[in-house]
Amino acid sequence: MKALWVLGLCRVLLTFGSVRADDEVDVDGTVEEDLGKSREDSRTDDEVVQREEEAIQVRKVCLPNFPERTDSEALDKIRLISLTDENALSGNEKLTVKIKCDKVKNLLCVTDTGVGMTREELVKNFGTIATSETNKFLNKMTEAQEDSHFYSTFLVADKVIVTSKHNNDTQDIWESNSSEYSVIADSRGDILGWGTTITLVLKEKAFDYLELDTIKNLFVNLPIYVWGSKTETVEEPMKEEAAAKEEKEESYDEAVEEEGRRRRRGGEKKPKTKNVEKTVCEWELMNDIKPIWQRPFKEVEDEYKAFCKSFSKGSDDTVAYIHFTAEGEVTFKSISFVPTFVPRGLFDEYGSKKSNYIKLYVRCVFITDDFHDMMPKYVNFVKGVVDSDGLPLNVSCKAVQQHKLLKVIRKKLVRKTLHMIKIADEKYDTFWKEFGTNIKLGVIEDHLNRTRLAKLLRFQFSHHPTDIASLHQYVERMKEKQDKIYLMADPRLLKKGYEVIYLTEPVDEYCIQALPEFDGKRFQNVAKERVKFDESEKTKESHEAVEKEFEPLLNWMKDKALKDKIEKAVVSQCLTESPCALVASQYGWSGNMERIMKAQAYQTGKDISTNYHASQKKTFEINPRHPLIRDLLQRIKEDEDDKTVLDLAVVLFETVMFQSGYLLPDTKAYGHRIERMPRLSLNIDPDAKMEEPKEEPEETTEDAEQDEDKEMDVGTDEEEQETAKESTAEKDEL
Amino acid sequence: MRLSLPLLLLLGAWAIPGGLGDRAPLTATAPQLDDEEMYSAHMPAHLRCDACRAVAYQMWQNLAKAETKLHTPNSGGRRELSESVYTDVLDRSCSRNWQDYGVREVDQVKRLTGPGLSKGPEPSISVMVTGGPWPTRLSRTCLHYLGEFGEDQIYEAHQQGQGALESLLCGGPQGACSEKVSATREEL
Repeated sequence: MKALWVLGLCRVLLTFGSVRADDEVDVDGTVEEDLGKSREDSRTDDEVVQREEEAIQVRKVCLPNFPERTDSEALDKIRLISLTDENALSGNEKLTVKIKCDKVKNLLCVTDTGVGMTREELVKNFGTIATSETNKFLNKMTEAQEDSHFYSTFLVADKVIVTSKHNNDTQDIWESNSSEYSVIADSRGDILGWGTTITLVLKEKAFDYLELDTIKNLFVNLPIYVWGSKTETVEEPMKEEAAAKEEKEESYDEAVEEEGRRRRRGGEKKPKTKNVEKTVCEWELMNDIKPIWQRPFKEVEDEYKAFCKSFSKGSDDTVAYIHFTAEGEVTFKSISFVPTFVPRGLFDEYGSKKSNYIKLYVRCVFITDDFHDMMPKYVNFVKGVVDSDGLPLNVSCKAVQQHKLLKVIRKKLVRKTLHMIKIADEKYDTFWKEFGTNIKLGVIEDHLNRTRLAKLLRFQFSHHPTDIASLHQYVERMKEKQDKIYLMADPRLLKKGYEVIYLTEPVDEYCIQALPEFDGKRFQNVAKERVKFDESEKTKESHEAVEKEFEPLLNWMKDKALKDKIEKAVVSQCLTESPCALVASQYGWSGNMERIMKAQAYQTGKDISTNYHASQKKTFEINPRHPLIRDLLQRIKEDEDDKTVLDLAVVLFETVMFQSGYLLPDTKAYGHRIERMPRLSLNIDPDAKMEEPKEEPEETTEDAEQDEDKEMDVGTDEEEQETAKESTAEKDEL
Repeated sequence: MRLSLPLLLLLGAWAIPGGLGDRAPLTATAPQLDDEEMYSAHMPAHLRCDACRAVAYQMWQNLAKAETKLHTPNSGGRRELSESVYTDVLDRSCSRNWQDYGVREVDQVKRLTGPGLSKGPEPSISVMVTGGPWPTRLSRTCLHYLGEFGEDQIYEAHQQGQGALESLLCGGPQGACSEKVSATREEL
């Protein structure tokens, strides 16, 4: 918006505040000169930069002009320019700026405690400008092509009143409504003491600036007090009311003159009180973010905590912080930190919501915190400040984001952030608990920093199920010839002493899949494509024999019972107690992944890979030692088309699909099939004994079904326990 | 007539050297991609060397192009890009199209092919499979190297020559084109 006038004002005030200090009063000629120029040329970056370097000169009153497209651009430039003057004044500690808003009369008053101007100066500085030039300016205003900072105030104000008191003169008022001006002695006498007040009668469209919030974070270098009024319920004793009021008034003055930053609240608790609604007015310090990042590291060591707290306006402690200066084409200083707790709503509208935790400053002047992607989405919890000297002046807020220099800043900031997280050390566990998911998302999303992020990951491992450890630690503990990192649990693996990563969260598997390898070692998910162990000749032979034996069953399953549902049926080498298992291909989805992918609500386009994965058929593994399987083999040898047996096979398949975490395509049919079983089983001869596991079964169909029921309930393999747990976990989540 | 035909043929063959050879049928088949090549999210191990070289080539080419666009060489006569410019150039090198790269099978060995990758004699015709997962894989490979080495180091190597850049990214004992990699291929 058109807030450039604020800065214009401040500039004027401060500039004139410095007049005496520098003993240079060379305003007149320059004003005209520049005004003239302003209407003709457009300056280049170089010129602007050069002008910047002439900061201490009073000539800086006049604003070099740039081709302006919007007021916000003007605002930004002016911010930067005005800063250059402030640098000169930074030594002057007594300088404060007070802002008072009068919503009733639509007045905005800005007061400074600078040196002030004499009447002569008022005329000189403002008089010359307020001649016919003013009209020209006004005409041009609508084109928004040029601006002179002070006169930009007329964009927002109908009337401007400058009241100034200089040591050597009386208090005078310069007033203008942009078409004429007057300078008169202030009949109220000397009320300012010393300094200047600029009062603006705001235009309607600028009423926004009467809101305190709008002018809040603009400056950090100088203390700006705002006259704020609050309606508070105050407990006050009846009699002592008057005394209390006085006390408060005194304390206000103190606050104004003190260099302290305490906020004074109205109302003190006293005995025998009654509740009174009071409108308390006081000077409130508006900008309490101190620019400690500008100071050397050692000096501000103790102040980081306070800084971080003031930043997040809360009592949030920090897990880690970093203060660094980055050199290069553009130099910038930054303090960034990680809060202890996850901010609320961090994952709401992930990626689309603009996070405003990183504030960009240029030489301590706040530019914006409204970035779309200053930091990548997954580190949207990091808060901090970036202060750059080198961002060119002719950039608007929007252009800043695309600017190449900002890209460089962004890259360095991300790297430093990751570094900061890496060296968090003792506090890392706390960090991981809160922000672990963010790091995993980073592995998935940020290909540039993937290797760095992978080193930050933590998982649970089979050897130490209660602790979390990094992949690096896993690799160190790996067996000598082990060249793969195993995920999920395979009882054979554990028996042989291999350590396995447990993927306990839905995002874990997705995250690991995004890593091609870690430390040169690839990942192997043993839920897909079983681990191949070196087999002796004997084992190979016996395995082949078993395969041959069950060939009819395998073929029957593939071609008849489970036709189109499975890729193939094989004899399993690792099932111990379950009758069967379902295995995805190495590049297909495991049950977990399938569930996640199907739950992606926003995935509209069915790209090739999704379709592939979704249509991937699984491999059906059977346990040759399981009585159920052996029975099946027998039955299909007798009658391939036995309906009950066909049904049985399908039920087995669907149950194991369920257990492995896949989604059933037709749960209704499954339900019916299950229902049939107990019905049939009730016809069982109640005296029929439980079958011995290793013997060849001799029982009837009913017995077999009863057994099957029991097996399904009882028989669980370690791996299926895992997936079952996961599926329950998923179900809960869903 | 019959006798003269072979004579004619011989003469024909002589008259146009290599004539018969030119008319021999040329065949090429599309590469048979295995599961990993088709469906894995990552660049298959045996193609990583080629991928690295493709990335190095693209980076070199884009940086060189940017340098020639510079109007003023510095005092040493060399054109040097500023940090923000080369960061931007490298960024755009990785986010480019990559549609001009693909896979083909030559002498039963699958290789990546595209600008900057031709090595040795080219077969007369070949079938190249492009698109699909390859652009994403190449892009990720590029970003991986960019993140691994950093823009500054890459630009420094570039200034020493195209070979230096390639050996930075792909060479070295842990590089994609090192001897160890070919050993892994045997295993697979």
